[in-house]
Amino acid sequence: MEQTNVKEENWWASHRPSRRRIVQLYCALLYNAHLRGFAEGKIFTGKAKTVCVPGFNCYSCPGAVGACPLGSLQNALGSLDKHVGFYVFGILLLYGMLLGRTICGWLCPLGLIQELLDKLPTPKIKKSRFTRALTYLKYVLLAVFVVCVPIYYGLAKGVQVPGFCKYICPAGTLEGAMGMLPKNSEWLSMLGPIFTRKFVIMVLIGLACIFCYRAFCRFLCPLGAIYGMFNQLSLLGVKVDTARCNSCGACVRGCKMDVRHVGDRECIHCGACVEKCHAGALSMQGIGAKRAVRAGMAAVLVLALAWFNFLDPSVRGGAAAAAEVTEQAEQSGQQQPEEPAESWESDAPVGWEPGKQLADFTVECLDGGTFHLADTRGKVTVINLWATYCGPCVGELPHFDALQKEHPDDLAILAVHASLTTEDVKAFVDAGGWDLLFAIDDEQDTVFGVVNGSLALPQTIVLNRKGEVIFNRVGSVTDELLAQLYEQASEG
Amino acid sequence: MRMNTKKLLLLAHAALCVLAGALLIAGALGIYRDGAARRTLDPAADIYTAEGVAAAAKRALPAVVLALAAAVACAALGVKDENRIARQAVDRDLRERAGEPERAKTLRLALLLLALGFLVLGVFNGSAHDVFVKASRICTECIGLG
Repeated sequence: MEQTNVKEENWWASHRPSRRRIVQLYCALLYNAHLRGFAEGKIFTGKAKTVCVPGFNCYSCPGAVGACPLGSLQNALGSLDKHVGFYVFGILLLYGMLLGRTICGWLCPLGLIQELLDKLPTPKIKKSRFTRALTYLKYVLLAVFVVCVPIYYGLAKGVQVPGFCKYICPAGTLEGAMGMLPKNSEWLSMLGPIFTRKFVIMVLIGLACIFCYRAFCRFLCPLGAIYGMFNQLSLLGVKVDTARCNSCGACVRGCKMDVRHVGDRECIHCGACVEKCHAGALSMQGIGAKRAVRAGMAAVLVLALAWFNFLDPSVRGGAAAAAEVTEQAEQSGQQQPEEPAESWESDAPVGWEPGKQLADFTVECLDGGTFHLADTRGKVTVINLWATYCGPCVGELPHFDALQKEHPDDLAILAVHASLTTEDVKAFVDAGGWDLLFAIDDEQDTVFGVVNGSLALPQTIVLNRKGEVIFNRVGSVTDELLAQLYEQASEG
Repeated sequence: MRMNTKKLLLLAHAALCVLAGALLIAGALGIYRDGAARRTLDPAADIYTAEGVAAAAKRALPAVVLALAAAVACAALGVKDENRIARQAVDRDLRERAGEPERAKTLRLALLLLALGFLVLGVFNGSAHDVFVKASRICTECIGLG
């Protein structure tokens, strides 16, 4: 009996999660405290999203309660023509100076995932001069995809293109796309080459992390590259007592990262070297585990879970607003039979799905006029949901413009900007010179509610001459698809 | 456990991981190839369909399950690559790193103050609001949806 107890104790001693692992799990849960988002397939939209979390965590993850610092940086660089993104620069500088790459080692959910993948028992690629050379790749990615691509598209084309998010980021695919798809199965229809490419990249990075410790973090992560620049100056992390150090090199030999010395740009301050140092020259500065701190952390987590799932105004207000919009739509739908012109009357029930007719609505346009949906009966109608800060949305406006010019009398196109704006939308559309009707949705998201607009942009809805929905899809549309939809709608 | 058996188990698990990854990638590429062919005929056709995804997942699932089972077996047997740390020499004498110079402390303080200044400026110039707006909407292309 005693022997069994000793055996169990030994097993527990060698398998129990380290303090660092507990902090990593804690952060992953805290950053993604909006757990109901996973069940509902909706992202959190509360004011907490103004704050960037320190680690790598996609803000389109259904659970995310904060913004991704790297996504925010790309957006800030992409809107330099508007104003300088002081807030993002400040927050990155602050995190860098306080924590440096301690964030990578302790506070990054993607780091946690990589370490768990590394636990899979396979032969591992050891660090070498080659892996050390590969660490420079992340600086290339930082320069090209995080800095140059957003600045170029933002300044030269007036479109926001977050290069790293769009072309590489595995967190976006894993947390954002894969997190949202199970509860938004209709989004399958928008998947295409971009998803395929990013899915392949995600699987390749996952495989690399199984065979090579923290492969993404070491070779590809631009956020790690940014924090690495502050590593030598950061307040927290592993500190060397130079009076005690005998330069035996045990710290560097035992480290799985490509460090040359403790605390250099590649050091993630995981603290593994502290135990390996026989001279007692290394210590973790600023990271303690006093009982009061632990209790405080637990209380913060409980409060966060309660707040972000039940108490935040955006969570409480969301359901009520949706119910109100549905009610309004139904009431509007009941009045519907009076509105349509006789020849284009529809018997279809009110709804947003194909085959149903949209509930009527009226919206003020940016040119001072009014758009009344019932007045468009007899014409093909296209409603596009968009935003100036959504690159693909702006990219497809010329397609709508061309279609409108091709069928000026037979087609009504309304481009509805999301209620949240970051700039003067009227000035933006005036500068674009598009010959379309533009409107901004009201604070109750009335138009978005009528067409079942989600938080995902862009979205296009096509109605036939009777006002019946023939197409309602999230995602970009092409010229060919628009032409085909027009033909289809004009026949209906 | 004998060294060769251990190595063999590790290699078998590695092969299963690669196979699972390859099947997942092949599945995605296959769906895309078929879907793209459909779309050339009909621009409104979906590239990814629930049936296509289910079929690809069915093909990859056995390899994924086997890889996971092998991982559990290896863990239970205590098999892992223990010789993973390279004997890399320290390329500089740590003792040469003198104590933190005064100017580093000054620089740190200056940068911290700069960071706080940027944050305040950001709140007033609208860049904090920009972060909120972008984070509370989903740019489908940005997360790889399309």
